[in-house]
Amino acid sequence: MKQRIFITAADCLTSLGDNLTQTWDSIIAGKSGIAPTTLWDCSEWEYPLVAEVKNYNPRKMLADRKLLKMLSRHDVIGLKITDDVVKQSGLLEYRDSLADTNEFNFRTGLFVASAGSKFCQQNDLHPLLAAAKGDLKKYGSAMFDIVHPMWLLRILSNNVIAYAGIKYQFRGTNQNVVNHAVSGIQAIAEAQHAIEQGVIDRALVIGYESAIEPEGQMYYASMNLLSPNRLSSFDKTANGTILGEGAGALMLENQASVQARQAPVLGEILSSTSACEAQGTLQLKPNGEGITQIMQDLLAKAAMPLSDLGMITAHANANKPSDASELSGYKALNEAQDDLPPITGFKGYIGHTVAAAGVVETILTLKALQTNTIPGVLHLQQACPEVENLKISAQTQRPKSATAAVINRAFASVNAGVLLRAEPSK
Amino acid sequence: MNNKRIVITGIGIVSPLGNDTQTTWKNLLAGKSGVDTIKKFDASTFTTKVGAEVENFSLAETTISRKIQRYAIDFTKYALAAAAEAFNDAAIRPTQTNATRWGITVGCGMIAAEFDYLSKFQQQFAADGAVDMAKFGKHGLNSISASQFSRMQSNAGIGLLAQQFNIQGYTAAVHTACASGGQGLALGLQAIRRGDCDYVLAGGFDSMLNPIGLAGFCLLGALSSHNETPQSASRPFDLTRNGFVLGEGAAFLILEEYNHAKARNAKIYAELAGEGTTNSCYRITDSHPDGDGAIQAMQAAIKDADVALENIQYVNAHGTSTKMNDISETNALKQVFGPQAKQLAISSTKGQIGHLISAAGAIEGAFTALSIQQQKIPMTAHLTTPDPECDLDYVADKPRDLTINTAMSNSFGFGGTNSVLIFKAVE
Repeated sequence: MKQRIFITAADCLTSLGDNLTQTWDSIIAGKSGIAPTTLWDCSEWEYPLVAEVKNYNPRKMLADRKLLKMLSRHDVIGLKITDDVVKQSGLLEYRDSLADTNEFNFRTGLFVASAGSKFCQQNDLHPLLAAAKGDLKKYGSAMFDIVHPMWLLRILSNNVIAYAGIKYQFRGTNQNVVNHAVSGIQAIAEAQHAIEQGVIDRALVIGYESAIEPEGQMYYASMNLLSPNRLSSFDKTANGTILGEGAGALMLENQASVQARQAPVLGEILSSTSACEAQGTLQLKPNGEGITQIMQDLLAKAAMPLSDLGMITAHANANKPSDASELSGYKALNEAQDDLPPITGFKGYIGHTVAAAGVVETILTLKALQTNTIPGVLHLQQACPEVENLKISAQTQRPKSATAAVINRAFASVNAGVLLRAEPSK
Repeated sequence: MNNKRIVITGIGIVSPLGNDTQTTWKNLLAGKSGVDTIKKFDASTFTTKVGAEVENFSLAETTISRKIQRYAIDFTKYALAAAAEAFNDAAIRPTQTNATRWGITVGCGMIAAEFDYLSKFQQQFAADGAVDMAKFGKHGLNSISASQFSRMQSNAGIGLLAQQFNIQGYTAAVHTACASGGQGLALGLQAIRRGDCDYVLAGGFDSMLNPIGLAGFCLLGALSSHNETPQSASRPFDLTRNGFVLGEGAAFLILEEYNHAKARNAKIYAELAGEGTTNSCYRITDSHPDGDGAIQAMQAAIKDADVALENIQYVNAHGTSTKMNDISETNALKQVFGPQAKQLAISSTKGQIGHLISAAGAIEGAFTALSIQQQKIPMTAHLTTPDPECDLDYVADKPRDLTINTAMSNSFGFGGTNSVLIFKAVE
């Protein structure tokens, strides 16, 4: 008998707010967190727009100030949301009530979606490179005088697993997924599998990202992936995505764990999947068959007909080939398109949070289902041709049911999805 | 209890001991060392000047297209070569009809910035050590090519592997430092077990043997400083060990269900029978001196594989040649195996190939499968001065012939992730 996987806590930190409530209220108000960066002088930049966490203050966000020396901005954001969701879950209080916490700790996993590499690592080496002037002998001899000895630790991509583990002693199976923009969905999926297979009883899933470093910004722009003005998914004027930062975390538990501690249930993970189009790093199949495959697999695993699906949160990154092929993929599910539910996308509000996207967008989708409110697609004024016959709107829509599919797409032509069901909001 | 048996039907390796499996294995058993003074760049003023480099490597255009090679950083080229060898060895490839049933699971490296590119960037936009944002904003758009950009992405490697070999199913990349490669294999095992795939290309690839990676580890003081005796600088479990040696390379296994393999009369190296993963939750770089965390990962893997302790004959140890790891791992083995720990044959191959970081678990998993197939254990090289705190049988003198039914491979990472794999002989 397959274990059911319940969501018992969820929160996010985005460019629209320090938590889910603030973020959601801003989305419903039609606000966007996208603005010119405040992190560097962008006056000469053709692509100055980012979705920046507005109240970033590491000393306020994390209690352990000594630890801050060892962390990047990415890590701080990830650990902040970890603290918030662990607190919200009430898991520690329950653990404290147990006579033996050891087994509990080893039955609790950590699944994290993180950026595989950070450009801040490069900035730390520039002073050394400048001093060495291309001479590797000088580079080797001067490194101890110029670079912080813990430099390598600051840039580890598994820092959030490490420090969340040390702080909370969640010692069970764990993974740090570094699969670009499907990392978040895959972290949820791997946690789901580990619980289903009985390896653990519960897992904290964290997605975090700060994709707004100057190098990343410039390089994405060089590849014609960024918009200089706005992120307008599914619009005729769509001309690229806008990078963002943020984090989300979900507590997932099996039924026994939920019942043992009488945890409130926010929703349920019904199925998940991922697959590759085998098109290389930056290409996608134009017909969207990868998206069709993902959707079919999600529905089949959950034994759910398409007509029962309440809504789809699309990847919708406002990159024209990606948006067009994504919509073609949905259309191919149902020739008449009458079974397809309303479709929306959140990136116009919070930017593209890359590794965090899957977790953050799953949390926002859960909120949409709970509140029976699908936010409209921001900046959608003149729909692109592929939108025809689809339920995509700039206006708020209602989900057809309490279930939703969340879809993400990544470099390496990987697509991933998760199917979830929400409990009615209390 | 999972009743699917997952077996290894293909192996591909690029390592400091050779650019294919046969050469690597032959040199490993011959006791050769892949560690030497670093030749790829001038490391003469680094505190550690030794490394285990891949040598004389080239990738034939007949094997991997020139276009794909252009988008591949060096260690991704190792991955492409190792994967090609694994497919040839297994005599099976994805087809148009089953490509979606093929998966790819990898432990991949972390630093993808190429030193030459970084140096050029610094000269162009950070002449005084800080990036001139106005200048970068004005002129940065032309500073990078599509191939350079692609090479920097954390999942570029799996993208190219999937493209080259037409893998269209489950695709996963993880990074948990030195546990990554083990997790790459474990993910493949789980993907077939739960029915997401019928076949998986599973492995790891990495190289931090460049001025960026080497500097990072030198700054941490984690590396061996036996620069005067490079070939024996990595000496796991030896009293005089003082750090690990960076290595580079790639290893891939073809995993498939036993019944598929039998039905097509495939050569079977071994069964990948179980895996266990835990988080030590202790310190970022140190393992717990008592082996806590590693102990539970070994126990979980043994339970997952449903094997009795007394049926395990060999352990391919993480054995990094650091003071802390080797004692901690020894204590963990004693705790898990009790009195039987003294009967175990344990070896660390890092004495000869160095530490391949994200690829370590994958290549050591491949060695463990080969050990089972050939009933022969590689030695722990350069263990000449026993450490009283490391007092188990580390197969120090020479490779050993041994009847192996079941073997274990350990990988423990910075950050605390422990990945343990169990391999079984297939009758």
